[in-house]
Amino acid sequence: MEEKLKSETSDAGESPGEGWFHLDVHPQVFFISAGLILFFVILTLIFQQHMEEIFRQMQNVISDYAGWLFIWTVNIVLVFILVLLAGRFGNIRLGGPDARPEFSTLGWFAMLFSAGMGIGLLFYGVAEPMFHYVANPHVTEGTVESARMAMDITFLHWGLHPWAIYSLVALSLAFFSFNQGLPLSIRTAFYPLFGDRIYGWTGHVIDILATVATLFGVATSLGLGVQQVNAGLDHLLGIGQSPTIQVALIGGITLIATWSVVKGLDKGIRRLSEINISIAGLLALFVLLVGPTLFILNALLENIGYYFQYLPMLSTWNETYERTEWQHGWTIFYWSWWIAWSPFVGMFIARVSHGRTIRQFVAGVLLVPTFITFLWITIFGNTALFIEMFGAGGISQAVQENIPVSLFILLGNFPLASFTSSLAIIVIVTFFVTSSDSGSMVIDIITSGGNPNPPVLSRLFWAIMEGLVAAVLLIGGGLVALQTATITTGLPFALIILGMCFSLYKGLSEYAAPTEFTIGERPATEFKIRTKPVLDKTFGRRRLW
Amino acid sequence: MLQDIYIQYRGACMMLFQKDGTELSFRGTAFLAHPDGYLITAAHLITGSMELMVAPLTKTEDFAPVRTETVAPYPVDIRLFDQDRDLALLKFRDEIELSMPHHIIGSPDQVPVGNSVACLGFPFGYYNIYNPLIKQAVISAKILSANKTKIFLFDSLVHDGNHGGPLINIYDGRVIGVVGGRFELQEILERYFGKTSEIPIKTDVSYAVSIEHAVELMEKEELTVI
Repeated sequence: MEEKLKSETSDAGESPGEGWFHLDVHPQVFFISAGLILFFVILTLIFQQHMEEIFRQMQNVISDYAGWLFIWTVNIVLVFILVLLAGRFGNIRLGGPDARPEFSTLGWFAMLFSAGMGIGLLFYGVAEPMFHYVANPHVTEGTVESARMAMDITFLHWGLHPWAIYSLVALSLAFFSFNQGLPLSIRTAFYPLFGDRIYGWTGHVIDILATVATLFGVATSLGLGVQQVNAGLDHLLGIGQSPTIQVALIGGITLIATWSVVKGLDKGIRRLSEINISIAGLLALFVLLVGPTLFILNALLENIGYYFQYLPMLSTWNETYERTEWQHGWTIFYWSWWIAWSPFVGMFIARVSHGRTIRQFVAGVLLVPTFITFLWITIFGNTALFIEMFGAGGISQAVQENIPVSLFILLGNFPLASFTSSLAIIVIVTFFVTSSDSGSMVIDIITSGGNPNPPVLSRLFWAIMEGLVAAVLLIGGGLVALQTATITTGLPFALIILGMCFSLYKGLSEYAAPTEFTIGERPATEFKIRTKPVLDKTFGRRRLW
Repeated sequence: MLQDIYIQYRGACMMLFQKDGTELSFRGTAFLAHPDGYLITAAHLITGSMELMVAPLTKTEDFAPVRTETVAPYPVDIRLFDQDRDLALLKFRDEIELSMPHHIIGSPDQVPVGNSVACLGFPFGYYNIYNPLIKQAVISAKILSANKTKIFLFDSLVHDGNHGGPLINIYDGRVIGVVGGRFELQEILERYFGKTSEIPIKTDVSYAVSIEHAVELMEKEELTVI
């Protein structure tokens, strides 16, 4: 099967040269995805003036008509993953029964968290609870109850559901590629449903959707990140905030990312990413200690309890009776963002989870990062709530006016503000570089037809594309454009996610069922067996003893 | 569990015959071990000059008759023969299409004493009874023989026709040994102390050679064992 894929890739007619200057692309997937994305970029640039309105309309239409589908999808995936956690496939080991984990459990947890955690948590960690505190569709704003509800809604968006989606995609990739020896690509997850047709157009379409979704998912993160860097720099240096500055920043940071790609600084990037997680951790620790420590510690448990108490209600809430549009910019956006982001995180998680059993895998990927995310959001969100409810206040006002600046306003309430703010900017920039670097790696793996070590040139192309798309989206309408792009590409991929549940279940059932030894056609000639019993047999002495 | 193991391995176990003109005489059990058409059996059942054939059992859930008069066997060749370990590697002479489960070779070194095992074979073939039997036992001891062969002792009395069959770990359904025969104290005492007793000392313990040694044979044949 791999040979088949190889022969298709060689159709591209590229010479398999040495060094980084050569291509190994799956022609249909690479060129169609790239074409679609370029088409989108050009369209946005041509209709620059009208794009914001168009994006807003699109977001409304998709959220109106397909919102329920996103909500169904994420809940089905969560239930499916919980079934895998408890069910009979729990003992299947990724990579076969003899595979053993490459990384220590603690190291593995750290890597899982760093995969899913990124710019988003820094962007929304303070802003989202504040937003819901001031206005949410469930309880009266500004009350104690609304503070609790604000944390709960934030937990809903960042909790089990995203990690269930990542688990599903990662598990599909890991199972089909480690246990069944299929190429490391999204189409592979559909082998039980389509068989060898995954190497034809069915598979091409799946991979194209995955590529486009991943690219827009990553670009959204980059867009959010750069808005925040801009806000932070403005807060510190007063340089102002505008799309032009943001585009310049994207250019600058993408340049760093591409430079690291070309130089092959994978090891350095990994080290950088580790240091970055530590800095982020120190930042959280700083806020925990300097901020309202006792309030945060109390809140963590209460938030988690409240989350589980209201999980069925909130996760299935669909604005049916309210007939409002509150979910468009929040829940629907998040669900589609996680879905669009899932090939990226999934691929990474799959690569570090070789040798874990499915039960260990699901427990690790679903529960541990969720808990750490809860911890992060509680530290930042509850500190902001504390200041708003019992302290100086003013954060909610600032957040309403400008989301990206919220983190810096929070840090401004504590000593060493300019130092911690600079630290926060460094963290965001580094996340930007590492996301761009590894995002382009994942897209490159998919568009090369599942080659786990794709050549650098195409990766460079994707790194630049991510920066380009993020920039164009900012020009074409800022946050709304980013959200719309994610929702639009997330929608078809949601269907793929649903199909993936079915396909993975089928694949696991076939794998776990006792497979028989079967032998082809029987020989025609029959022989008579000698009927006299061989009673005088002697085996003689065995050399063994 | 045992029914899963039976269903899984019934297609792997074959009756081993010696071709004698137009007739076949039963020699023991052999089992499929590699998708390229390789089987494993015990070396003491055969000699290099024998013309060998194997016949799979008829897969059925029904009650099967005791008597079988004819079979449609496949000719096999002896590829490697290791008398020290009492193992032989056979190969189908003709290209045959076969499919088998992944990862059937277990990890014999990690199986603890007391682990439940099953063995499958045709114990009464020498008496013209060709029904396959599955038996359950526990690993009673793991020992090293005089020539440093890793041996599993298990508490089941195997019959002569069982020799060459697989010893399967019940917990993961993977082969950990090749059934060699009953654990005859006579033979061992002779080896260490010279001839000691004329009276046979009966035990109800049998032994199997660790699959590790069969893997060594397959690797010598340059097969990738997965």
